[in-house]
Amino acid sequence: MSKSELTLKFDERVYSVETIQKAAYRFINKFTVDFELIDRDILCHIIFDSEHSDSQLQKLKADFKKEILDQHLRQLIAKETETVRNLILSATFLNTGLQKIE
Amino acid sequence: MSKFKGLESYAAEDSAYELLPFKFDRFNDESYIITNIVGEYLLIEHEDLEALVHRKLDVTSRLYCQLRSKHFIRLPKEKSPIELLALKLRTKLSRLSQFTNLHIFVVTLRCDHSCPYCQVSRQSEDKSSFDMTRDMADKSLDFVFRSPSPAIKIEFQGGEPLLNFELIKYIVESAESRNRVAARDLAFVIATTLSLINDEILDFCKLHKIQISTSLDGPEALHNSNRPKPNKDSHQRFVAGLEKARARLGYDQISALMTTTELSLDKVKEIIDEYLRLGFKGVFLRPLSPYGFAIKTKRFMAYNTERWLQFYKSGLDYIIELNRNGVEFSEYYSSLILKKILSAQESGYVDLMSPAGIGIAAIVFNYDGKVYASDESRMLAEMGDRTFELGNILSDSYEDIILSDKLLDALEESFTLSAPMCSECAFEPYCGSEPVYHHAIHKDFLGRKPESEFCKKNMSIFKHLISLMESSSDTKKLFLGWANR
Repeated sequence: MSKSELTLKFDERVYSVETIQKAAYRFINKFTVDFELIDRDILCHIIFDSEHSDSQLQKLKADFKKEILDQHLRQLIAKETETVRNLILSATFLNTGLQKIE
Repeated sequence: MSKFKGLESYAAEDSAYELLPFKFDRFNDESYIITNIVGEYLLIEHEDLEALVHRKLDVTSRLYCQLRSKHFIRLPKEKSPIELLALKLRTKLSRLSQFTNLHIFVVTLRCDHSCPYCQVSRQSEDKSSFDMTRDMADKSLDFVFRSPSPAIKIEFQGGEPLLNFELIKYIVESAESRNRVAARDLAFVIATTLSLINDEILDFCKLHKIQISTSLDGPEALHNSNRPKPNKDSHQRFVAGLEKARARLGYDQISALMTTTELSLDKVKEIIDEYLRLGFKGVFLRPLSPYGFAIKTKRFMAYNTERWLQFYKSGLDYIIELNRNGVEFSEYYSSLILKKILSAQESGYVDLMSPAGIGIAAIVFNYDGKVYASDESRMLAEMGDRTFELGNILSDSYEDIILSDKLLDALEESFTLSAPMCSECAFEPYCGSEPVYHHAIHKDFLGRKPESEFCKKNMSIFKHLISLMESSSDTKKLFLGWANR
């Protein structure tokens, strides 16, 4: 049996739409995703570029979910390290003449 | 009682370490790669990644020490990791304030070869309307010496540049004359097939310390098949020219590049052996680029990225084996990438830069006065896509060209630190933006990275090089040597 579409549901208290969108972008060569927000649910209607067997579909679904987890972790790290990242960049450009002195 | 305190004595209370900026990606089924802001990397298990982010690392573990020493974490208020990361980042970015080192002069579009994969639409030998004029050369030199770079390299290309050797002589002598005042670190290169090399040319090259960059695609049959001439003597003339040039200029003044065609794919050992036989110390395994005749003759489509990667990987395996047997030989594309992975230095390779190398690492003065953002940009223009044509040297000023929207938009829009997927990619510190390639294939400066063959090729190479290093300390030692050359 082969399928070309499926729908996944996520709770917006767990994952943001941005997190899921970023994960979906990484699969843009395999499928596209239409988003629908209903109450606290984020519905992802996945449309595959080609037909897949059930096992292939399960693999893609699992990979997509893993990627969402990764994206969530990336956002945690980015948020937590934002201040120190700016500190490193300030120190990098200090005394290079590239900073404007008011 | 021990003379030294245990590791736990140096750890922060309650595991209160702080995260420093880092990115991660899946490396394979078992592990993740994490890279910090300057590209130092570690391979770790998924559980360790979770433990790292959620402050559950064992402070006496080897991993904790590695993460601190490679600046993925710091103790609260610890300043040295910030200062060291800033220093390394400043080193990596230092080229930006000294932009445009490589200036390519296309002194003629005429050529004595008719290679089907040529990336420039060549013209026959006898059409002097395809030659650069002295006026254009003068204006181009005005431009060259406006560059803030302390090092200036002028490279002569074609066509076959030796078909307009008189202009090469004029440019070299004029540049040297200007440099008596400008005092730059000035160097010259002629990119030639060597088929027209003679004593007069070599004497001039010797006198002015001009280096030769030439092309060798492999053993005689393969080289001649890739580079047709009416007498089918391209390889023979190459070898004769090489010997002559080495005898006059010295071994290290001549380098060679190869291009992979479909005929090369199952001959990687033979190609490397030919480079060895002719006394070269390395090879640059290059795929075809999607420009010029390679597209018109459909050569570019003759093999896909997967097939080229097989070719590259078997070549690399063979080169590693040669080194294990005491033969000193390297692969230059790998070396450029390893420099980025294993040191704080940037290789300066135009294709692997962000901001992109177009215009700010290299710029091209074409035979007709047009100025292009890179060699590939002029190849694209020959196909009718003038996106990267920055102006005309006869009518536009330095400011018109270097501050043109065409250049600045391409640089800004392709910047990997703000590009979708690239900005969060763990391999971003090793990669580049390549807006010209993506414009050629995807018709925009970025392309969608999951669909990009450039992304696929480079990600695969990054992973392969790291895997080889992680699985053999001998290979890591060899690669460190390549990175630090």
